[in-house]
Amino acid sequence: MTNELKNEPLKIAGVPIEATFAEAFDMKATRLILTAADRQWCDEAAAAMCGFGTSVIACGLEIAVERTLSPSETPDGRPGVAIMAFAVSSNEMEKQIPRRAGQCVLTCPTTALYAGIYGGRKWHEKRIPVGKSLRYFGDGMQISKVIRQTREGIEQSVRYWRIPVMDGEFVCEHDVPRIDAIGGGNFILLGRSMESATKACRAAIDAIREMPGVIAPFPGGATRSGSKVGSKYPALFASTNEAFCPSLKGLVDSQLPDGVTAVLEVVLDGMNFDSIAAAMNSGITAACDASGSDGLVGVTAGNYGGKLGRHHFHLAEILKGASS
Amino acid sequence: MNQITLTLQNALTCPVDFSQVRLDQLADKSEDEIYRTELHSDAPGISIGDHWKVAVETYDDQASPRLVLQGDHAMIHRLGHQHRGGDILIEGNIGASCGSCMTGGSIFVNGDAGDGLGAPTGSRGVGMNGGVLRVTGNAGDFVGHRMRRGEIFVEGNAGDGLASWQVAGTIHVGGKIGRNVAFGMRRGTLILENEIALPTSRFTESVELHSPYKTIAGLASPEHWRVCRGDRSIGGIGEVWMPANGLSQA
Repeated sequence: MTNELKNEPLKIAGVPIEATFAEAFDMKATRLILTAADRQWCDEAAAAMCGFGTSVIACGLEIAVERTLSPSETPDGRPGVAIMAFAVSSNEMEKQIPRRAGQCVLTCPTTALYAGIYGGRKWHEKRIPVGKSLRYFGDGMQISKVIRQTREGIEQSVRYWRIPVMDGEFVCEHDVPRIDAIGGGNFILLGRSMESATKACRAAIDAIREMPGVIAPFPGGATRSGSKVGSKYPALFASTNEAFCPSLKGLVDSQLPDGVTAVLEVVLDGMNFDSIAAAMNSGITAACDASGSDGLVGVTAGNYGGKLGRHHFHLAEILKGASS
Repeated sequence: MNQITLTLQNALTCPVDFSQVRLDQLADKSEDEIYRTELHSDAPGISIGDHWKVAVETYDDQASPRLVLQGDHAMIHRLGHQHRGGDILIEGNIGASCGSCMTGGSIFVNGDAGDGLGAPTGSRGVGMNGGVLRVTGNAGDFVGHRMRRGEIFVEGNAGDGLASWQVAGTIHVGGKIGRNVAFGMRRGTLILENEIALPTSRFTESVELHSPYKTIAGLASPEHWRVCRGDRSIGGIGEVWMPANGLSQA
């Protein structure tokens, strides 16, 4: 049993930060821009598309709204959201995106779907089908339009599909770029109570919510079911991380310091190392500021000893300059 | 990449076929080689150097090749025939069949264009098949005839047979148009900024269509546009967009 947080020279708002690292993995990612005639339709379609998208362990994708977009930020001048999706394999990504777009966005009134990463094949050779698959719903009445346009300084020809539906047309791009990204950045909030852990967690997510290039795919941005690789049951390849379960302290080799009664983990997927590192910095700082040492025993991060993922987010380096 | 500028020195007295002047072939040539390029014309044995001043300048390596024609080229036909990459800019008028069978790149006419803009020539069954054609002035008859891909913008008026037998692609006309519009249109998009009465035997009644396509296509005041489908006489499902602001011609 561990009674104190290990190696914690760094403190933020009096909260000790363990000198450890979060271990993250290579993933495939894309960004989609979802728009609709009004904010309500847009948010409802986004909620459907991002539903059941918390973890690649069983959902196929980790997917969430990256940030809301004003009409001036979208291709069609309507309210929108940027959605980011992450998958372990390109095959899974190519299966999940058209399926979710077809069942959750095509079905929602007034919506349209565009690429959120700009550049055609010349810039991003690897593509994920959207309209390329969904066009067949038009049963021969679909219309393809290639439009020469400039977005973010890139001049390109973009193929759109217009599929007749009962409220007018569903418009989407033919395909969207797929990029290499990182999944599994994390930090773990060690709360003195559920209330203080919740307060810290919500402050962290509020700080991360509008940051570009990163999502926190779990409900409310956090998970209570931090997992370890493997299980005593052969069929499972992930199971509860008993080292962080307060109820098992004394029974197993616990990593919880004294005073911890509730632990929440914020899991982050990002387009690159810097976006995740920036989100971890903002999230941890906001969490510590919100709950302080009266609410948090400390902050740590999950890793597998550095053996599984090649991206290591060392808390001490990420939070350099944030200590108080 | 090179920019080739041809400045017309003396007025042409007979039509000249420019279909042999391909930007992708000219791009690597020297001024002298371009100067000596022979042209098809009723006047025997003429070359570019007989009528044009040639200037070649090299600019950004990453950019597309560019051909600039300065002067009134209304006697030049089939400029940009099978054009497939790079930009052609005409500072003046251009003759017939400009951009015929082009498959890529862009052609910008800062003036008027003759008949058959983006249309096929000879026995070819397909007209413009990609790229962008933009005319700031008026265009003649049969704009976008048998067009299959690409975009044509005519800021002024267009003549008869606009978009006839169009298969796909987009044609946008800012001014008035002639007779027999979209005759035999199979698919594709025709955008007319002045509303006309389409024959009910060939086109459906116009309907209001809720689609973000209107914004993506750059239509001003998207809420005012309505669309007709046809040519139904041949089972076509092309679309003609017009603003619902009253008839300007019959």
